[in-house]
Amino acid sequence: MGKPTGQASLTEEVERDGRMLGLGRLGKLGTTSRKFAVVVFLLLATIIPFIAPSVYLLHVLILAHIFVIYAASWDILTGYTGQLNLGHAMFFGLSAYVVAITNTMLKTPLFLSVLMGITSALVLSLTVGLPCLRLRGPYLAITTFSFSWVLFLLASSAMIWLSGGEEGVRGVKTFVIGSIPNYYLSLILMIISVYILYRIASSETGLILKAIKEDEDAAMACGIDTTRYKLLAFVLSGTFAGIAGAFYAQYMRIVTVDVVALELSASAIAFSLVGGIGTIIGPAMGAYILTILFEGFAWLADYRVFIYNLIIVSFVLFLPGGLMSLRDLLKRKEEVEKVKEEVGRT
Amino acid sequence: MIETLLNLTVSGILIGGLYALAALGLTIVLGVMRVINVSHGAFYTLGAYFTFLFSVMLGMNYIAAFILSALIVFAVGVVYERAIIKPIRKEELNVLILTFAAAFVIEEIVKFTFGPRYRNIPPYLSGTVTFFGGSVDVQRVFSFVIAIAIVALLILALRFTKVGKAMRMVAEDEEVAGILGINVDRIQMVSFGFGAMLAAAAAALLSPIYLLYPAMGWDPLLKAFAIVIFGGMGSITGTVLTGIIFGVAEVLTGYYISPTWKTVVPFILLILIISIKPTGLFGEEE
Amino acid sequence: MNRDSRFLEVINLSKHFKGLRAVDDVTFSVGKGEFLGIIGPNGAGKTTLFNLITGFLKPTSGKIHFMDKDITGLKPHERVKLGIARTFQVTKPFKKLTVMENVIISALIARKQGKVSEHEKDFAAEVLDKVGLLHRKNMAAENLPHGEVKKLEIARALATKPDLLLLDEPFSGLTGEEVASLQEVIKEIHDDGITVILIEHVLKACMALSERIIVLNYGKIIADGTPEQVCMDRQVIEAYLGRRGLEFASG
Repeated sequence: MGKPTGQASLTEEVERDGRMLGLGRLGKLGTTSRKFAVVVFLLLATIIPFIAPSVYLLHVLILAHIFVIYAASWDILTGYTGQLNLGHAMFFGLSAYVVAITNTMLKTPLFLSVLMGITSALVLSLTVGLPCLRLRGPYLAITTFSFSWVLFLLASSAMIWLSGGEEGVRGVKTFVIGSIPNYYLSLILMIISVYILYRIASSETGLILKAIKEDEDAAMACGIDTTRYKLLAFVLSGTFAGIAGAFYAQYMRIVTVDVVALELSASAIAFSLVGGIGTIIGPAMGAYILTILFEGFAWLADYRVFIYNLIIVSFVLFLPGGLMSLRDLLKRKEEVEKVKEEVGRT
Repeated sequence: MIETLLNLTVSGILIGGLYALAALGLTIVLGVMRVINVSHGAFYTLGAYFTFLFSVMLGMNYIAAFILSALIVFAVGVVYERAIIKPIRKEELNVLILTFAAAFVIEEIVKFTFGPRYRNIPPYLSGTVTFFGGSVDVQRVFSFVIAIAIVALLILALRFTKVGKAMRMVAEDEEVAGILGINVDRIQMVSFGFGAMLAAAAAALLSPIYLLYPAMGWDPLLKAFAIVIFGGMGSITGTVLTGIIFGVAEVLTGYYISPTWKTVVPFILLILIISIKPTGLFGEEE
Repeated sequence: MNRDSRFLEVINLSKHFKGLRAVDDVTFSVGKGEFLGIIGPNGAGKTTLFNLITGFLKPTSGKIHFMDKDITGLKPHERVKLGIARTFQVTKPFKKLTVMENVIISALIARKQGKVSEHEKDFAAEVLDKVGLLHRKNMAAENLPHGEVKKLEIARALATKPDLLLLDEPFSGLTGEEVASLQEVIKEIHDDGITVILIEHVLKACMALSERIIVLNYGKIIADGTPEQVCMDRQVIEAYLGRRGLEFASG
């Protein structure tokens, strides 16, 4: 996109005009305070292994990195195009299983396994995305749910000879050994993934995706090939979830039925709601915080599903825009008041 | 050979009737409120566990337990609708997400209360019935008969009672119904309660046959959804017929292909059909 | 008659739903630069006709040609690329996006197709200025008053840089003042060289703007001529006022 020199890019201009919209927004970091927060966070994240080299802490943070990618990948699909994915675990889990199975049973080199895992997630995303093209709302949601349910049934009963069921697939190789190397590897992976997704989401593509979410017909009337963009969102979503799943497999070295469980799909939603659907950074934040909370406090483990979903219920009822929308709720009220005044005056 | 087939088919029909009952609950809510209740499975689970609570833990008579459960879940449904559905009905995405999550919350509460292991309710009636050289548990026949009775009552109620007619009018055209003086809000609340109650009833009737476990609601939810879509969303006869077809297909798959695949096949079918014909096989509104 | 009188050609176009002939064997042409009004009682098939022309509905039979190209099988976004834009009768703004963002979406596509050389933000601002919405550029579309949402619809369609603009009841729900101002805007758009087809119930505005009027009833064309001709047509009067009304009008 050729920009005349000296002219700010589209999104920067919009940002400078000062509007933040909350739910449905481009999800800009924009303000200096937020940019600062990100930098501080990254600095801290880089030096943590030297300040607090606890194996347990690093383990929790590695999982947090993985789930950040997982949540961000859900958001680019549901948060941006509005295609509700109730079965996101299927991309994560399929990739994890493919990595584990090919590596342990077929003795495929890890690198190749990971490639196959991610590719399988990509293929699955197309397989799901294509029928979803002609579906809307609840029917689309239930279809995504059905696909993931089938995968779960296969892993937990019908193909248990392959998946190992609760026992799972064990003995997956790993790229690097030790907490600290894995920590940095996962940190880099997280930063790159979130950065890519964030850039796409903040670009014209992201705006188009948002338009499709608001009103698909209107988007078509603007000249947008909605089919292409809806599929693109699915592929991005599935592939990055697959990346997260593949890393998980080689890090945990064990893959059980949990990776395709419904509860994991619900987690993606919980993470994103807490942070703010449709912002990429919000879901990343939500995933990071919640994972640390629940993996960090082992006694909470039994209550995780309960609390995650209670969070979803509460946030949908009271703060559907997530934490990132708190500031904007006030601004919106101002705006509505302003219009009321004007209309009243004329 | 034929005998086995016959036996299986009858088995399938009996189960199918119960699936149809569960699906009808979903149909009613869909028709009157245009809402797909992803928590439908949770009401199903509650129906089964309340029946368990009353009949096994408190020693009540099974029939009494069944009726009490159904009524309690009706109340739960009403409260649920008022507290959770009504405030956010307009944002479809949020409704779906919320009902999805609420189902887990309910499931977890059940798990904390009753424990994660399988539970079972002893059959109310024992013995078998023989016919044409095949035989079938009396319990299943009994459950089926009750289910059909409920469906019949439902159809009659929709056609002849004031509430029933009001529900049909709201399903047809919410605005017009409101103009004609129907309290649309109240009808929707009641319909939701009925939907929940039907799920609970189906579960209560199925519970002496199958095992109970906290996550038991997801499977019936998806089956109910598949039935509603195949059966044409809003058509009662379509739903019942499809439910029966489903039951038969499931039993036959379980026998001729494999028991583990019988759980998977209906959903593969669902995915195929929804991809090819999103409006379902029977397609028309009633 | 304009030089290129077959700019848009609708040939034996029909759309049947279960037992209902929404559009019934309709044939007409529009010349480049014309201003065509389409009127008719409710349910006459006007919006269905628009949906067919813009690709939101598939015809049961018949063809549509645009600039000598058969577009009958094309998807809506492909027709936008060729130069056909529309507004919706029931407005469909991108609610949570700002007014500026709403228009930028169309402008983006137009720029990508090379129809516009400047930065889409500048082009969008121009379009907003033209319809009189520039002062609202940062407001969320959902907070706009009704009259301005109607303008936004038009702005969004304009930003695709169309050669043919289909307006579906842009005047509905507007106050007298708003009608007058919108009339000016639409006239300007037409003066800029864009061919316009207008569906409208607000007859005063429709008659004032249109050079030619087609009247639809029960999916069929019952009149096609200048506003004056159409007003005096017996069939038209009957369609609107019924047989009694016709008798009353002639008697």
